[in-house]
This record gives sequence, structure tokens and C-alpha cells, in this order.
Amino acid sequence: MSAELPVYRRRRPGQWVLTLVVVLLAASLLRSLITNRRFGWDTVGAWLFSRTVMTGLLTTLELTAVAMAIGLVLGIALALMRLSDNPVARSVSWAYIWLFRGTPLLVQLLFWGFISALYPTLSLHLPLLPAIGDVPANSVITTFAAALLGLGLNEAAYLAEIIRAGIVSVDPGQLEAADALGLSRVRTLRRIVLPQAMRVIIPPVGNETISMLKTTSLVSVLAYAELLYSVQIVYSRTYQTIPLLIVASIWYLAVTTLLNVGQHYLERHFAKGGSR
Amino acid sequence: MMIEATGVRKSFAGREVLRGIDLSVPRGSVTCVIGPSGSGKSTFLRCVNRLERPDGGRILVDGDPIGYEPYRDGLRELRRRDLARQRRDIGMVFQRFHLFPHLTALANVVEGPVGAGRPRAEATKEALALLDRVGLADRRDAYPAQLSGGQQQRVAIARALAMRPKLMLFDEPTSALDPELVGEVLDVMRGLAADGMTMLVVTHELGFAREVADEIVFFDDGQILESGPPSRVLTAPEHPRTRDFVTRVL
Repeated sequence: MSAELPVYRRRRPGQWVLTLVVVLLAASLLRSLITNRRFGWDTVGAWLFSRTVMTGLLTTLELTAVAMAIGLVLGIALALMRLSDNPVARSVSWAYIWLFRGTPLLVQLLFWGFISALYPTLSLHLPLLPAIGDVPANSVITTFAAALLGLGLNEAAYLAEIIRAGIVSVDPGQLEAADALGLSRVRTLRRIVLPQAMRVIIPPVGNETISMLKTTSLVSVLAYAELLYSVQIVYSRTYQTIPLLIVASIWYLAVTTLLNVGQHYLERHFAKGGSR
Repeated sequence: MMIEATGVRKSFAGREVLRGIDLSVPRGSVTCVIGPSGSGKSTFLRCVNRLERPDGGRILVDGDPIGYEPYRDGLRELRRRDLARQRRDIGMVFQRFHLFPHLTALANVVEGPVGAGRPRAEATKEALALLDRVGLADRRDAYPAQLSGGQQQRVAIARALAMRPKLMLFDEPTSALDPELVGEVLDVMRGLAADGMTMLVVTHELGFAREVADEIVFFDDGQILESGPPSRVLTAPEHPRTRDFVTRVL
């Protein structure tokens, strides 16, 4: 229009007021963090890199990684079953998701932990065949295995639905194009459908991974020493409850931050060719 | 005959879309299917490579029944794997391209042959030649979203040709294009016809049909009302509905 007229920036007084409020609140929080001796920062520092905490942290990472891996593999299988033409596969998948989403994870963990009360020995009896294996349940399903089964099988039910949503979101024309080229079903899934579904799948799976990191703390009910249970053992002895909970929180936050960064790069990778 | 269709029927939710289509396409010829929208042209085309499963009748491509194998004294439906093998010989170009958006132009063209077990190096070499043939050798590394509609459709044609098909199906290949991009796609198709490719083309481009087609087939309400050389069907149609359609579109 008229390039000669001066253009003034609109002032935003609300922004300045909000900034002031936030700065004041942050300052008072910082002051209490420093002056309140009961935070016990020296204790936090002493335990942050201690052997006990490090071992707990590693266990938490291990549980998170393996449980998510179990969940993803099983989740993909369940999602494909749910979308299959085969009514038996569809029903099995539906029933699995119904059962594992419909009961509390804590209950599932306790079930796996106390499996030997239900089945003292494990063996497989099929009609017309001799029984396969006959081993004490506790020797197969150790506390670690119980923790992984509980976390992984439960996660699979949630991931199955996330993956199914991702697959369904791919344009049906892509499947027609793959069919017309004579691509096999497996190749269509691996090369055409899943890479495109990833854009929909990754953000919620990132969510689930971060959630899993913290959900592993439920395993403390099986007396398995992951990060939270490790600091609980310490503070039940030393009564330094708050500082040790802070130690655990710092590590949970640190790992979550790293996971966020990883998710960012994964999303960027699968955005290839995207116009959005 | 490259295609021999007899009595092909198809209904969607009780509505008869194809009511007995008989159509033959000789090897090396170009057949253009025209007709009002909703007349079943695209459905018939999609039956030829069995993206759509006909309810009745049968379709032979190069003598083989599509979607069936001989069994005892009759036929039975093919396994998916064997149907895929049949489809590799039939190239298909869609109205809305359906390129794989996460793959580059070159990777789109290479995907099919590699999926069929050809060595990647050989498939890549041939894909580059095909991209050159459709005039897009310099855009080999572009993703579909970075290409114009006309360029995307030309990549889609190269992708179909990479399977070395004996028959090419075109489903309104220029209908989704801006008018100024239609020509470049039709040029590629003219070249294919001149090279002797057998083509079945559903189109509204009557100018193209008149120039390239050996045979024009007019679909109306799930039936073939009239067919013959362009000089007859487009210039002196016998049926009033054909006449009406041709004058409205031209």
C-alpha cells in the first residue's frame, strides 16, 4: 500500500507483566532451594553418582529398553493381526488387548511375580502329545523375567493400538500402487506402509517410552532394585528421604531429556519427502 | 489378444456398476475408454489387474485368467503371491499418481523391479534410462512433493514401465493435472503408443484419443454402448448418447 508511512510495533504490556510475575516466582523458588537446608543438597551430591544409584539407573534403563523392545515386536504383530482378513487372528488380538489394557499393570506385575503360586512347575500339554518341559516356575520366571513380562506384555497392548492407528493413516492409494507393482505383502509393509506410518507412530511411541522409563519404578513391588527401589533401600536406612528422592528425580529427568532429543532426530528422519 | 474380457459384472453395495462388459484389446494396440463419470470405466480398468474383484465374467490377459489358476476341471482363486506375479506384467498409472512420498523419484522407479528380485544395480541403471525417457533424468533425487503434478505422473509412468509390462493401464492419467501440465504427460503416452505398447486408457482427452487410439469404447451406465475406430465413434457416433457426450466434451 503506502511504503512511505512509518510502521510502529504494537506494544504488548501483558507480556511484560507475565515476565515479571514468572521472574519473581522463579527467584523465590530458587531462594528456597538454596536456603532450605532440608533439601540436603550435599547428600544429593554424595549419592548422585554412588554405586547403588548407578546400578539402579542401569537396571531402569535395561528394563525400559527390553520392555519397549518386547512391546514393539509384539505390538506390531498384534496390530497386523487386528487388521488381518483372518477372523481368528483378529479375535485373538482383540482379546489380548482387552485383557492387558483392562487390568492394572500393578496387578499384572504381581501375577508374574507370584506365578509359582499359580503354576509351581511349567510344562506345555497339547492334546495327543507328551508334555513338553517340566521345570520349576521360579527358575524360569526370575524376578527380572517377571518384571519384563509384566511391563512388556502390557506395553504391547498399548503399542498395538498406536501402530494400528499409524498403519490405518496411510493413504489406501499407496497400497493400490504397491499391489499394482506386484510387491509382496511383507515388502509392501516394510518398504511402503511402515515408513509412512512412522510419522504418526513415533510421537506417541516417544510418549510411551518416556512413560515406561518411569513406570519401571512399579517393579519395586517385586523387590527388584531399579532406580527408585535402590534409593528407597538407602533412605529406609539413612532416613534422608527427600535428598534421595531428588537423586532419583534428577536421573529420571536426565534420561527423559535424552529421549526427547532422540525422538526429535527420529521424527526428522521419517519426515523425509514430507511436505507438511 | 492382449485383453479378452467377457461378461464382466461388478456391484457395489447392491448397485450394478458393470453389467456384462465384453472387450478385446489386440496386442500392440491402443484402446481408449470414454464415457460419463460413474459409467464404470475406471472400475472395469481396475478389474483388469484385479484391484477390483469382478462378481462375474472373466478377464484373460495374454491368455491367462487374471486372479485364477486351473484347478481340477475348472478354476480357483490364486494365492496373493501368484496374483502379484500376474500384476507385474500389467503396468498401472493412477489418476492421483500414488507415488511413494518417502522415496525419491529414482527410488520410486527402482522399488518394483528390486521387489521382483532383480539386482539393484541393474534396476537402477534401467530406472535412470526410464527417467530420461520421460524427461526427468535431472530430477532423480527429488521427492514427489518437490515435483509438479505433470512430473509426478511422468515418474509414475516410469515406475510402471520399470516392471517391463506387456500391458499398460491408464486411469484418467491427466484428470488431476493443471491444464498446462496435461501435454507433457500425453506426450510420454504418445511415445509409448508409437513404440508399440499395448495400452488401455480411460480418459476424457478426446483429442488424444482421436489421434492415438486404434479403438474407442464408449461406456454408459455399466455397459458398452458403442465401440470402433475414432473416425467412427468420435466423428460419426451411431448412438444418440454417444453423440451427446462427444459434443459436450469437445
